Amino acid sequence: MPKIVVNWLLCEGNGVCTEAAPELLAMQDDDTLKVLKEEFGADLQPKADAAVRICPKHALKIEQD
Amino acid sequence: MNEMSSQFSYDPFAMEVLRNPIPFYKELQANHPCYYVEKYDMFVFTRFEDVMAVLGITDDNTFMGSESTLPTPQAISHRNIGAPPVPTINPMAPGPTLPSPYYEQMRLAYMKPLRPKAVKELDGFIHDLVMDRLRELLPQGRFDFMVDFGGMVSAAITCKLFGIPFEQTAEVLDAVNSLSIYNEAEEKVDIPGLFQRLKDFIIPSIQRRRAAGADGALPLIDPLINFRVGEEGRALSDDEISDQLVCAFVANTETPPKPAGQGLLALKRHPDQLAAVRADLDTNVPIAVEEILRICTTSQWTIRTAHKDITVLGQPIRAGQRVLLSTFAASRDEAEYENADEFIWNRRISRSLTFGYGQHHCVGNHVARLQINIMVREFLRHVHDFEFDLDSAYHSASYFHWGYMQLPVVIKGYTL
Repeated sequence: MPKIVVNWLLCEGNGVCTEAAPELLAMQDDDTLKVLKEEFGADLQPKADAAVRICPKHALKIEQD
Repeated sequence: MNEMSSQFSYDPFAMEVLRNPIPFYKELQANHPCYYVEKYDMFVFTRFEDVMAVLGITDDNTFMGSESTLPTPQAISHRNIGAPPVPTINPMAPGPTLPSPYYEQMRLAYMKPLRPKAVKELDGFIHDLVMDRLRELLPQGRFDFMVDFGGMVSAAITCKLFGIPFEQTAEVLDAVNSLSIYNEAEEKVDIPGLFQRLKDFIIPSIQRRRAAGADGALPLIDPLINFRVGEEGRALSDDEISDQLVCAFVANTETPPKPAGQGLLALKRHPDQLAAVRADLDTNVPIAVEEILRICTTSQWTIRTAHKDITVLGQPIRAGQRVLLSTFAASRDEAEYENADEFIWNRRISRSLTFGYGQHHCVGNHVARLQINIMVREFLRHVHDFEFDLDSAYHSASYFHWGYMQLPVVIKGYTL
């Protein structure tokens, strides 16, 4: 299954990915990102792709196992 | 256009370009998407897709701001033989020049107060700053939007973030403005001079925080005081800490007033759009601010140096060569934005390069948006009739910020 991978050096909690893929990513109270689900099914592929595209830090990627 | 094509040449530091870069960007985008400047051994990219693609190369320190991301022309008028030296970690070189992972580690250390929720907590403070300024300035009937209003708001926010006494707000603004302008005699923007001068503000604040135990009460500085480098666990000196923070100091003080003022100018030039925005300020100003950020920002470009051979968009680039990415040009790319040179307040913007992209994406984007929103919204809420005096305005010729440095505004009707 594909999984969403965060580069934690680049991620600065801008949070726009959480709007694109709320099932996979969420902001925590301390302004940091939380990955709710790493692996995702085909139904969430468009949202995962949108999150990767929208991240201004280029901090997300999708890895295929 | 044909004439321009046959004799076209582009030098990002040439006075003709500094005076008005826009026709050059149009020509570059249309006919020279990867343009080589022999003098600086540098490839220039201006198309939105291309700028994003190059800035998205974030692996392995292939590109670094090692020669500065805003070098003087003098600093890059030589050809590197292979990759130039990597900036030092001991001492820790100025932030924008650092290699990964130190670049990111420094940013992550100081940027807690710049994250979205932390910035939201500044809303009331910024609102009070803006209202204080409006209460003082509106009765005067005429003032300078950049120097007296926006600049003072932004400089006060800098003081708050940096733990600098508010009595120094005007001095902070003056220091940043005077050193970030283009010096025609010396043909450069004196970035090294800026780094040095701002130590006068930043280092006393660092010392105050050390004396207070760097307990986290000033989250911009305390984590850098507590940071330990590498296995030896070396602490950073005052100078090293200052060198990580200068970029944020300058960018926050100087940049936000420009799109704020120039955005209001754009709205004045389109009375129908101004009326539409005024119909519901709370809802519409945030939408208009995104278009303002696209077309009214002033920062021109950023430079990187290749530290490895790489082929980019079909162009082989050798280690030591440079790339220039124009986010200003990209923001006006017709391929990305229909009628790109038109101000359309509620244009649907799905992607933006205003704040850059990738490793160096603007760390202050949230606080920038917030203060620009508040400045524009409250100005429009309280000033129902105004004119900008462009005959008395000063528009810079610069390779850094291209925009109004002075923008007098005449207030014809207001309520407080």
